[in-house]
Formats: sequence, C-alpha cells, structure tokens
Amino acid sequence: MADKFQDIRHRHVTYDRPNEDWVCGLECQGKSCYLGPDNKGKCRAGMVFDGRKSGECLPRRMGGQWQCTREETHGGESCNEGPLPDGSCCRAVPRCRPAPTLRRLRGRLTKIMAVMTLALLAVLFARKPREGEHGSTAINPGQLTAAHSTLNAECAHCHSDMQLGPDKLLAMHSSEFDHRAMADSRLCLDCHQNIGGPVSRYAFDAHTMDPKKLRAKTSGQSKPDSLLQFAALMFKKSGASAEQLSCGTCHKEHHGLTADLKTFTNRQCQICHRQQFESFSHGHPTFEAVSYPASRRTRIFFDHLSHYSKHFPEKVAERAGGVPSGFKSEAPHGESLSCAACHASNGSSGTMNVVSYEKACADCHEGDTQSGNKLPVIGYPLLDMISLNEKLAREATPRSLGTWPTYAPNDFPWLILYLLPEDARTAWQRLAAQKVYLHDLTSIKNEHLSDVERVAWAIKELFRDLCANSPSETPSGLVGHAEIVRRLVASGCDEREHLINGLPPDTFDQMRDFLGADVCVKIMREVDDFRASHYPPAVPSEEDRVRKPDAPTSSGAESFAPPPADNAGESFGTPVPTVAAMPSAGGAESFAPPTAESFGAPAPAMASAGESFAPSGAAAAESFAGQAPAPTAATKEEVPHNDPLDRINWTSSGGWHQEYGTIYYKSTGHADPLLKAWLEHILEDVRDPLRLATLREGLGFDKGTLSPTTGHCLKCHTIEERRNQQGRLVGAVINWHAYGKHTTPAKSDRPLTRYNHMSHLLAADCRQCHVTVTQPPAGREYAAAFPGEGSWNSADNWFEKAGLARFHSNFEQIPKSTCAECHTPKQSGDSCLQCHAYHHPAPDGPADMLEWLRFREANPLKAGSKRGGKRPAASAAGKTKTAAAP
Amino acid sequence: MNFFARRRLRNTLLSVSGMVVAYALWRMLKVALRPTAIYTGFALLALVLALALFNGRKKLPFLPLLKASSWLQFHIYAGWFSVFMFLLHSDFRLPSGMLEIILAVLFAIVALSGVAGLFITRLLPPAITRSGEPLVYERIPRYRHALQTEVENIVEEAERKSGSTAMGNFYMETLAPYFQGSSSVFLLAGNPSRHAQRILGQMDEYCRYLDKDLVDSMGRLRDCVERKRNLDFQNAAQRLLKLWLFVHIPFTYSLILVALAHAWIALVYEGRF
Repeated sequence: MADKFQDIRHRHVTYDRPNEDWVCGLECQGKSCYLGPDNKGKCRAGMVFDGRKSGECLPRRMGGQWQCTREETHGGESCNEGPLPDGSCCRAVPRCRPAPTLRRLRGRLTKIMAVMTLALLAVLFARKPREGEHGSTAINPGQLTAAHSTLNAECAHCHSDMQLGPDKLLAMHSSEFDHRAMADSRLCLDCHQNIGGPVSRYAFDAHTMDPKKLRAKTSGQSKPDSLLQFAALMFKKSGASAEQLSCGTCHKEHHGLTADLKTFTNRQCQICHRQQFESFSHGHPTFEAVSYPASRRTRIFFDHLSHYSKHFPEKVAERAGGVPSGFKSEAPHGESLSCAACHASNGSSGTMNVVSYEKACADCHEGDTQSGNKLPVIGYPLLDMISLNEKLAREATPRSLGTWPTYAPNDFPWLILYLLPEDARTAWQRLAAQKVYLHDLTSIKNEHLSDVERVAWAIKELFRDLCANSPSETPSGLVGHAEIVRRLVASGCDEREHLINGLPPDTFDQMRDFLGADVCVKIMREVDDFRASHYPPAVPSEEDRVRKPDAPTSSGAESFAPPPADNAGESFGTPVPTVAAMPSAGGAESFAPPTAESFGAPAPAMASAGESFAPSGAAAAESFAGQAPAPTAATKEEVPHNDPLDRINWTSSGGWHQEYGTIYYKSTGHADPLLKAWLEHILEDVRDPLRLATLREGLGFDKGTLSPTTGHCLKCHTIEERRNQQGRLVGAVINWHAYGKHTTPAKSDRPLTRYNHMSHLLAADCRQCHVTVTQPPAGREYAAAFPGEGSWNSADNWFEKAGLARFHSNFEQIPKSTCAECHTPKQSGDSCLQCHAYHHPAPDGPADMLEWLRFREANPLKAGSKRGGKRPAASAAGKTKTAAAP
Repeated sequence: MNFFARRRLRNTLLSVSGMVVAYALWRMLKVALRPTAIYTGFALLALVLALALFNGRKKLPFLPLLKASSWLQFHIYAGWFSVFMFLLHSDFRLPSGMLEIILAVLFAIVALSGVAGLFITRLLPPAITRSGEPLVYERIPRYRHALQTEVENIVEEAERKSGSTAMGNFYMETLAPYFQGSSSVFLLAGNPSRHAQRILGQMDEYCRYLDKDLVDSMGRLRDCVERKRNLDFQNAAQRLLKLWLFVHIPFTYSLILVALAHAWIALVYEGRF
C-alpha cells in the first residue's frame, strides 16, 4: 500500500455520499459490497434481482451469455469462475448489519428531542396546580410584584376570558387587537377603582382625565424634537382606541417581586409632552408660566398680612417686613407667629394642611359666627293691605284679602316662598320681575293684582295648614313638619329634612298663640271660604266710610279695631306699621318691644305674648315653651339681665324661635347645619330667579363678605361657580373647607403635581420659599380677588364673583430657581416623576388604605373565578370604547 | 485584504449596524410605550425560523436558493443578531417564569452550541490540513483496517525473516492496541500526537536490541504509526465537526416548539399589537 491512504483515481475508489443514512457493516473491514444497505438500513448482499442472486456483482447478459460486471473498485475484471448459468454471481458476499451514519443518528436524536419537548409542553400545560399554588405555574411568565403577589391571584384575576380566535388573529394588524389588553385593564379596576374618576370613566384616557380637560391644559406647549417626533409617530395608533391606553402600556408585570411597576422615563413623558427639556433647570416651564403653586383663589378667605398687622402688630413689628417667622413647631398657639400655628403636615401626602377651625380660629372668632342676624323663615310678610283692599274693592267682584296680621318682620321671609305652591312662586317671580313689592302697593297696576292676591292667599293657606290641629283639616292630610316637608318636596328641595333641621314641634302652636285664637279662626275660615271660592267682602275705603258713616268698618269680619292686649298679634285695620316701628331683625335692639301705640296694647304685655324662644333642640323647646310666665310690664324690669332664660340670652345662642308671629332661625355657631343646607340648596341653581333673589336679598349676599344673616359665613368661606359640561354656569358651591369638594388633604388642587413639605422642611424653613408680599401694589391686594359688596346682584357677573384665576397671593411667586438649586441630576434628582404624577386621582376613590380595605371588604375579589367565568358585558364584548361609561 | 477578510468585515459591519438600528428602534418603541416585547418576540421568532431554514436548505441542494456558503454567512451573522434580539426581548433581564426559563435555556444552548460550532468549523479544518493527508471521514474505518493489516503483514514478514518472535511480541504488547483502537474527540484536548509519540519512543528504545533487518521493519512500522496518528487526528477532528450539530440542531427544534408555545401564550394573555 502506498504512503497515502486515499487513492483519488475514480476507478479505484467508491464515491461515498456523506448524506446517506446507512453504511455497510463491513466498511470498517474494507469489505463493503457494491450494493450497500438500502434506505431502511437493510443489507442488500445476496439479494435476488430478476431471479438472479447478486454477489460481488450482478452479471449482465450479453449476446446470450452472462458476463461479470464486477466494478473496478471492488476488484474489477471477471473472476475465474464467472457467472453461474442462471445469471447469478458465483462469488457470494457476506451479509452484514448496516450501521447508521452520524447523520441518521442526529436525525433520530432530533426527532426524540422534538417529541420530548412536545411531551414536556403537554405535561406543563396539563399539570394541575398543587396545593398552595394558584393558577398554572407553567405558563406564568414570571413572579408578580410584591403588591400583587399577596393577592394570591389566579390568572383570571388579571386576565380576561377573551378568547383569541382566528378572527382576532387575523385582525392583528389593526387596533382591534388591543381587545385583550383593554379587557384585562378593566379587571385592574376591580381593585384600583379610584382610577379614572367616577365609575372609572376616564381610566384609560391619558392621565386618567377627561380628554377635553387634558387638552385644555396641554395646548400650546409643543416643541417636538425630531427623535421624539419619530417616536410619537410610533406611539400613535389607528382605530377607535387611539386615545386610550391599557394599564399594561406602562405597568409591566411578571418581572419579579421587586420590579418597579411605576418606572417611567423622562422621554416617555415627553412622547406626549413634546417640549424638549434639557433638564429641570433648563427648559422646564417657569413656575410663573404655570402659576405654581398658587393657581387659584384660596377657598378660605384669609389675608395673612392683614391678620398679622391687625391682630398681632406688636408681635411682628420687630421682625423684618412685619411678617411672622417660619415653621416653628414649638411656637405657642395663639401668637400666630409660626406657620405651624395654622398649618400641619399631612404625613402621607406631604401637603401642609390648614388645621381645623376649632384649633386655629375658634379661640378668637367663635363669637363672630353667632353674631349674625336672625333669619325670618316663616311669617306673614309686610303687606300693604290698605292699597290692596282698595284695589280689590274696585274689582268686578269686589272683595278683600281678609285678615292679615301686621306683625311682619323687617326682612321679607324669603324662605317661605319655598313652601308655596308652584303657581304662587311663579306669581311672585312675575311680581319681582316687575319690581312690585308687597309692602308698597300704592301704585300697583291692575294686571299685577291677581299675582299679589295669589301670593297673599298662598301664604294664608300655608298658615292655615300649618296651624291645623288635625290632618283632616288640610287638603294634603298632613300637618306641621310633615306638611312643610311635603311643600319642600313639591318645590324641588332634595335635602328637605336638613332644611328644617331642629325645628321644635310646638313652634306653630306658639305662633298661633301669639296671633290669638280669634285671628287664627278667622284666617282659617277665610282660607276655607277661599278654597270654596268665596272671598271676604270688600272693605270700604276711608272715603266711603266718611261718606257712609253707617257703612261697615273695614274690619268687618276682619276687624280693624285695635287688638286687645292679650291678642296683640292681630292686625285690625290700623295702618300698617312702618318698618322702623317693627321689631328690628338683629342684635339685642331687635327685641325692643313695639310701642303700645303701634299695637294698641301695653308694650310689655305684648312683648311677653309675642315672644317665645326655643332652642334648636326640640326637647328644650318643649320644656320651655309655654312654661315661662309671661312677664308683664311691671315684672319685666325685675327679670335679671343675666337670666339664662332671658330672651336676649336665649336667642344669642342661636336656633329656632318664634317672635311676633314669625318663626326665625339664628346661626348656632360655626358650621351651622341648617344654614349650610339652605345655602347649598339655594346655590345649587343660581339660574333660578327665586334662588338668586333669596341669595341676594334673603341671605344678604348683596353685602358680599359682610353678609350678616348667615352668621358671617362668607367672611371666610368663599363661593365658586359651578358649570356644566358645556361650560355654562349652573350653580355655585361654597367652600366649606380649605380643600375642594372633590379634593382632600391628600388630593390637592394640582393632582398631577406633588410636593412633600415634610421632606423639605428638614432642610429648609417655610420662609425660604414662601416670601410674604409686604407691600402689595394697589388693586393687587389679597382681598381684591374676592367679591365685595354689591357683587351678587345677578347671575350675569359670576365670573367677577367666582373667577378663581383672579388671585393675588399673600406670598411671592416661588421662582423655579429656588427648586433648581438642589434638584439637579446629580444632587436631588430632576426626573419628571419626582414632582409629577401620571394618574389623576379620582374624587370618589378610596383616599387611604383603610378606606380601600373597607371597599375590598364590601367588594371581595372573585377568588374562585376561572378563565371563562362571567365578566361584565363590556369586557366580554371586547369593545375598547366601552370603558364603563355611565 | 483577501476575499474572506472583506466578507467578514462587510458582514460584521452589516450585523453591527443592524443591532444598532434594532436597539435604536427598540429604545424608541419603549419611549413610545409600544409593546416592545411583542415586536421583538415576533422578530426573534422569525429570525430563529430563518436560521433553522439553513438546515432545510442543506437537505435541498438541488434548489437554486443561493449558495450554501451564502446561507452559512447569513446563518452566522443572523445568529449573532438573534442573540442581541433575545437580549432586547428579555429586556436585559433574567427570566423567572418556568416556560420562559426553559425557553431561555434552550436558546442559550442553541446559541452557545452555534458559537462553539463556529469556532470548531473555523479552527479545525486548517489543523486537519496541517495534520497530514486529508481524509474522507466515512472512509476512515476502512483505512484504519487497511493500516492494521499492513502493520500485521510487516510484523509477519519480519518474524519470518528473522526467525524470531521478538517483533511479534513487541507488536502484540505495544502496537496492536494502538493500531486496533479508534480515537475519540477527547484526543483533541491537549496534544493530539501524545499517544503516537509515546509509541514511537518505545519503538526507538526497542530498536537498540534489534538486528539490521528488524530495524528496517521497525522503520516501516514507524511510518505506519505516523499515518495512524494522522488517521486518529482526522477521525477525532472530523467527528467533532459533526458532533456539535448533535446539540445545535435537536435543540433548535425544541427551541422552535417552545418558542411557538410561548408566542401563543403571550398572544392569548397579552393580546396586544
């Protein structure tokens, strides 16, 4: 053999194919046959072809003879014996066991691996969870974050039962393929139900806000750079859900216990907020541009500067600028020299909250809240009876109004209008529009006479029904409080129980007692006759009486004779007392008894009969009413002035009381529930002329913050306009708290901006950022932003009154540079999320964990639910735009 | 710069550029809050399937689908690209789900075996050429048998000439195990010639006690040992060139199956595009 193994001569070597699956078993001995194994690995040595047995060759018949065909690679030429007569080879080849090639072995291994993989997948998917496991651990792409893992959630807790059918797969190119993500996101709201406002309406909109409001906030700030612009193109999607984002867009789960679901980069913020910020200190809008932190008028009127200079001049005189010091927790309360006197930090949110009224204000201002004027609620208003009866006497059907008590309060009892029938209120509104006032009807036109008469009879009907003893005596079958509630319901009052909160049950009895049984009986008969379409007869005028001395006096049934002393409440034809002669509506002087001349009876006696005070509590009223001996003129002087039952002392504490036939209410102090209820009801719809007039004249809002009637509520509590979705003014709200109706101490007016005072107080003092404006320019004083006297005349100038943007703070605008001193990338950080939140907090969501736990207790998770379980129709339908819209 | 260097440079630049573009797109998609995992997942699955087609292409040599070398080049650089795409898909994080861990392990096995195969196919062929006569792997058993037969003939002839069994004894004790044995791929670990050198050393020591005729026979046997060394090296090297595919290809199919299952689950549970 040569030195080289291989012989490249084609006649000496076989052509070995590397892709064959089998090789001859004798190959290793160099004795492979020329046939080799077949495709199935069977040895073909000695196989019979056409009845001829093969050997080293398969002889070929040529010219009638069999010729050897042995290949040169296997010996060549013919052997000495030559082919057998039947054409078979005479040299048999030993059979072998063919061996698989590496290629075949590799193919076999590949198939085994594939089968094993399929088996493994089948086992993983078919495996039932063991005890303690939840859901299929095989398909779980990773551990949930710590917050979610504690829920022991199954897949169905977070993944909807939306099936991925062929139709969905074919729609992969379109936005409809978001069906699963949006359906899953709705499941997130099972727990995170405070996302997206009421009923999660905007849960999937940007910033979980109303898109219209968001657009209004973000318009005009775009300055895109090319990279972000390109990315923004990718961000935009086509289809109906283009403006909606699923929760999973930002919150990527299954990345481990410690994964941060809130990771969000500055650039990701800028995909929408495309103004290019190099950093917080360079490019970020200045605080002046966005009016931060004071973007709106404060809800509580509190002028820091005047408060210090007015009440604590000696304390601040020695300080620079005449301002108090900053945050000093040890500062004594009452000196008001430290911010801590009125502001306390909310630990969780980091906001500086205004402490309660009781802590901050009551020590000095509690008396102010009880010093307001009493409010006439139910009473006979002042009516120009002479003029009215004269007009009625000249009608085609001469008539009169009948009996009308003259002890009218100085102020019109506006709230009585809410107890009148609809037609009477309408009549009053027509009169008010024409500036026809009941107390002066001398120049009334005939076309207004029926309205005046209707209002007057409605008031008499009201008194008749309220004074009825038995339900059978009233058309409604109700008496007393029940009748009032019925009338309030009829006039559209929702919180009717609150509107007569604490009204003593015997108040009407006191009113009836004051007017006297005779008068009351007269009024009741007249009303009954009126309801039977019988009017009292006409009253002759003074001229007629002069001409006809025998003519009946104007009193007639409705006697105009001076009332007896024990029946002082009745008007008997005497000229209507002037306003000056009537009991004043406020202060101690309001209780000065009317002169004997004006009422035809000794003043002390009348006073004793005309007053009966009841505290706001009904029990107290019951115990007191009627028990106090009616002091006579002689005994009145003997009543010590400091007697707790003295009427002045009694009414000074506020509540319901009856006086001269009129039921009054006086503020009981701060946060009086009845006045709050009336104010909220009236302000609910200021488009109603009746309510607006009540607000303006009845509650004294035309005096602005000086309005005394409600206990000086508006001295501190401001009013804000309330508009509907179309931006039209519909009403107003009173800011009872330093925080809005839809905000809490933990939810500020800037829900997307956060600032933790506590973390900053460690390094800085309040005064470092909040610099007091010591010399405000003219017209830019703090008080100038709030409505003053005469600002409440009509509903047309609400912007002037309740425009929140017009605000001049007591403090200088905080410059951005103040924050940028520390907030740099290398020091305190300057990422967007450090100061801004993404989610707009919902007003009705749970404010804290305790509330959330209560919610969860009431709405437990569907722990046993499985995929395919029942889900809300919205998610089952896979509609991306059906996000629980109300 | 020769053709191969130019090709390597071109393909490297292309694949690196592709990675840069893919990374930029990935970053931009992440900024745009798009589901990058879905995008990179689809891209990765398509890449793996395209890479797997190389095996099919080798089974269909008759089809005019570019040259196998072009496919190989694509396979190599697309393989590197798929590794980078895998990192993007996993967001440069280690997976924690069971199926994802299995998938990642399979991908790692396939990728690492591919890298190993790349180095093997680049390092061993020159060594095979340097080792001596290049041999067809399928013929090596035949050559081993022929060489063994030749050695036995030499030994018989020497015994016949010398009338001594010394050569026969030496053959039985020392040479027969060497020539009868087959080499494994572990031969390549360390010095592949160590066995042959040990045999040659023993032969040199034994030659001092032989007469001139036997020394000539011993010289012929030394040539046979040298050829056996080459035969063993060729066998081990070419076997290794084939054996790495025993890991790469079967695991590739497993990877595709698990990847399809993963994609199905991701679409069913994520359903976002």
